[in-house]
Amino acid sequence: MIKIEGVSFSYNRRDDALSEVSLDIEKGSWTSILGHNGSGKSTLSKLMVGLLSPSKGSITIDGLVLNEENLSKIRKKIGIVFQNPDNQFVGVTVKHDIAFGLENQCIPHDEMKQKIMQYAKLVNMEDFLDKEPHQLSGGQKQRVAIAGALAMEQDILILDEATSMLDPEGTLEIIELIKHLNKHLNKTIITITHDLSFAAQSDHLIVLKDGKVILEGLPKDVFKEEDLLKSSHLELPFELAIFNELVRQKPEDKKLLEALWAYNSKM
Amino acid sequence: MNNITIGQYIPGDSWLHKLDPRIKLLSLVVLLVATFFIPISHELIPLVSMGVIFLGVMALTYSTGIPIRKVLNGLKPIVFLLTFTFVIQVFYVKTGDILASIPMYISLTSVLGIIIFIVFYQWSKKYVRFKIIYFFAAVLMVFVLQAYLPYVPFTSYTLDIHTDGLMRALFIFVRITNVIIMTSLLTFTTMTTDLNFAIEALLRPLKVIKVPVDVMAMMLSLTLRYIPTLLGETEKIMKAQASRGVDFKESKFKEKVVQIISLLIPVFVISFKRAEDLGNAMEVRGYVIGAKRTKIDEYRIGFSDLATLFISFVILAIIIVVKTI
Amino acid sequence: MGIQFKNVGYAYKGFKKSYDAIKNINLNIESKGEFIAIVGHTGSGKSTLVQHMNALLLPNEGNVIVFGQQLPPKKSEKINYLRQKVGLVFQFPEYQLFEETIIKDIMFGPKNFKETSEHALESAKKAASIVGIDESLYEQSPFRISGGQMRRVAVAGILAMEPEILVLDEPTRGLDPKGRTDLMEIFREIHEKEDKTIILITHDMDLVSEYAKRIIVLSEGKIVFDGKKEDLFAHPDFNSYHLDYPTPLKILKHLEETIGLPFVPKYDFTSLLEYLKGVNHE
Repeated sequence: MIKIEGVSFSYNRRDDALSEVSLDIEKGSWTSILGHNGSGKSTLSKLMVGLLSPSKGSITIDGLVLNEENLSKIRKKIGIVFQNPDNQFVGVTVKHDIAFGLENQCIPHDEMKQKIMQYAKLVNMEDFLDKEPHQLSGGQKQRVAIAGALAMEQDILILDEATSMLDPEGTLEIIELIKHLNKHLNKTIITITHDLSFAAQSDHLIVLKDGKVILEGLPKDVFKEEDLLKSSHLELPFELAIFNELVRQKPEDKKLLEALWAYNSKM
Repeated sequence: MNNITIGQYIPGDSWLHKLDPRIKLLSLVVLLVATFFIPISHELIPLVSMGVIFLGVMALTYSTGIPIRKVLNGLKPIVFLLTFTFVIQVFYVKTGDILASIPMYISLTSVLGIIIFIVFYQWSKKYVRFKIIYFFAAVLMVFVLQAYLPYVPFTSYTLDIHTDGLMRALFIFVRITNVIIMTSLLTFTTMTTDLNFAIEALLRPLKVIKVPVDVMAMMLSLTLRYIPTLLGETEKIMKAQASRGVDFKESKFKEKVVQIISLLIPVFVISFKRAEDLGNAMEVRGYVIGAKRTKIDEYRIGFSDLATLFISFVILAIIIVVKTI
Repeated sequence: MGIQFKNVGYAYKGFKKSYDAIKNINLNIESKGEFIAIVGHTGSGKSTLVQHMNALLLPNEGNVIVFGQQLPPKKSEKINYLRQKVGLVFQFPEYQLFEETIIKDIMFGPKNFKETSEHALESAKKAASIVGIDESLYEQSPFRISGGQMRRVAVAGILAMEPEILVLDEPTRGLDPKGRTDLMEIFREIHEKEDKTIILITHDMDLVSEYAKRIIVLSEGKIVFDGKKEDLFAHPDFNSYHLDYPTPLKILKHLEETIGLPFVPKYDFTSLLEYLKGVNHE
């Protein structure tokens, strides 16, 4: 669904924030992009939604090449939820915020009303339509942001560190919602995060370091490359680290290792 | 979780609450114009007109269910202005019959008396319930003291109270009160978001002369949305800097300047980052400056709206006609 | 000395009614040697509680005594000096940065407490090295460094005041895993080297498990548990606290259920590893 070919981007014309990155994202998949701060993750997400233009290479979304002409069409296909819940909440109330994208698309009034109700219900915020943003928690605001993107019928949703500023309750709400969107509504989800426990649940992992892709594949394969991950300032979650260490130091204890792996998959 | 509400909206069910905000705003403008069209004078007709308007405004207030006390409290910020204009009119208008002629003394005793009284007033005012009335009484007292304490005089003057002066003073007093109350009624019965919509609607004709009304409306709406958030963040920064020793109570002037900077700069930094993030978010959601958009808000103009507007214009017409007679 | 709370209550005066943030708080915190984690659901009163420790908030009921100073204070007493004795680092402290250079910003705190410029500079340099900010960054603008570095500069700003007790409100929120570990290790070192009392608000039970000695659990504004971490996780009422178990314990419980491994509580990586290596279960 998304084809990124040889994309490079630089903020200051000297150093490349992204250097010849190529990747494919399949329709209906849940991909996690991991990397340290400054690895190019956010740059990549901004390129994918057309906020930035690559200096080299091309991005194709659902067959459409990302360029100036196609921008408005692309905006109907791909949406993004950013990190700071307050800095993307435009509306005076929840209802107005979900409506924002629809207003921009010139959706007629009655259709808007129906969509707002439908998607507010999907994210469990239908009782909060008249609430103002300062009366909501971070998790609630992010749910509203997701509802806004869904209402625009965007099939691809990028979540750029959407849970970094949330407390554990809020983070859990969002994770459950993402799983639901991916598994039951077939949305293509791309999460950008440095939380490996969270990323472990996705279908496909991509690890960026200094603007380049250094690892790619299924979570369990990527997690085996502990040294590469460490060099990317990424830490294995506790349970995986313990597992890896025991594999190294007590490989003969199959029973223990199996039980530990079961715990990891249970997550 | 914060419970700040911006503006003075008081929830209610009255017909004024339910009126379309555009109509309310337009009617207010028409009525304000009408009120100012009545010339300041001591003659009967203008006075009566102003009085009638006052009664109308009181009736309006009663119909909204908002306690009259609350509305009158809206006068608090301008009590000084009211008193000042009143006093000026009484002192300087020298036409009409003389009602009273009172010798006033600025003497040692009267000055001392006034000072003592002011101190007493400042201390006692927190115990008084009707603060505005107390203030007027205090001003009155200042003059009474000048009349009754002639001992050890420095100078004296005679206060001639003419009927015209008193009438004019009364007129201006009632007019300012009317204007304030009418405006307060608007803000008390209209939610800030509705007011926002009304202002945008009324400014829309300016589009013809290329004024970017839509963009201005969006800016106003965003400002309203962010005021509570910014207030909360400012409070957090104040606390963070207080934890680093910033204390407005216990510091010298020079230090205060740096302290204010320590509050302002973080707020600016947050706001600039916010502007950048918001711009990105709005763009991704399809917002194009100046492009056509539909609106989720729906306001329908009904019979009572048209009737209200009609009546307002009729009142204006009557006043213009009467004035030209 | 230290901090004592005697039947403290604080209510926020809302628009129409007041809202009890904390109630009946009784607490005794030693001035040295403690490492306390304060946990509880969102809205349980944690932030309100710690803001009483440096007199940012004064109690409506009861008394707080901070290093001998009674709060609320008598009319003429000045209490600003307490903010130097009890250093409070807020959530997302990088928002407090404002000075032209990093070193000036770190010096801001000490200078507010009447230290001379030379002494403030000394304290600032010491604090900068504790958090790992290199001398080469001193003259840089605090706005031109990475988020993680900004956070460390902000923490240095509090450390430079040389407080006797350090209070941290979710210091690792928003940091990546390496940033989190690095920062917590800085606090652990301060605690061990200087025997400083550290009080930490956090939601992360793994952090609690790894670093804290004593845990205070707040629920709906009241203290429902105050004791050693070992006692907390074994407590019969644990489920009513709405807290998660730390990962090492979750793993041990899982292993007990699936392969019958005897449950022996372990709280950090090294001890869990040693235990699992040494255990025999055939």
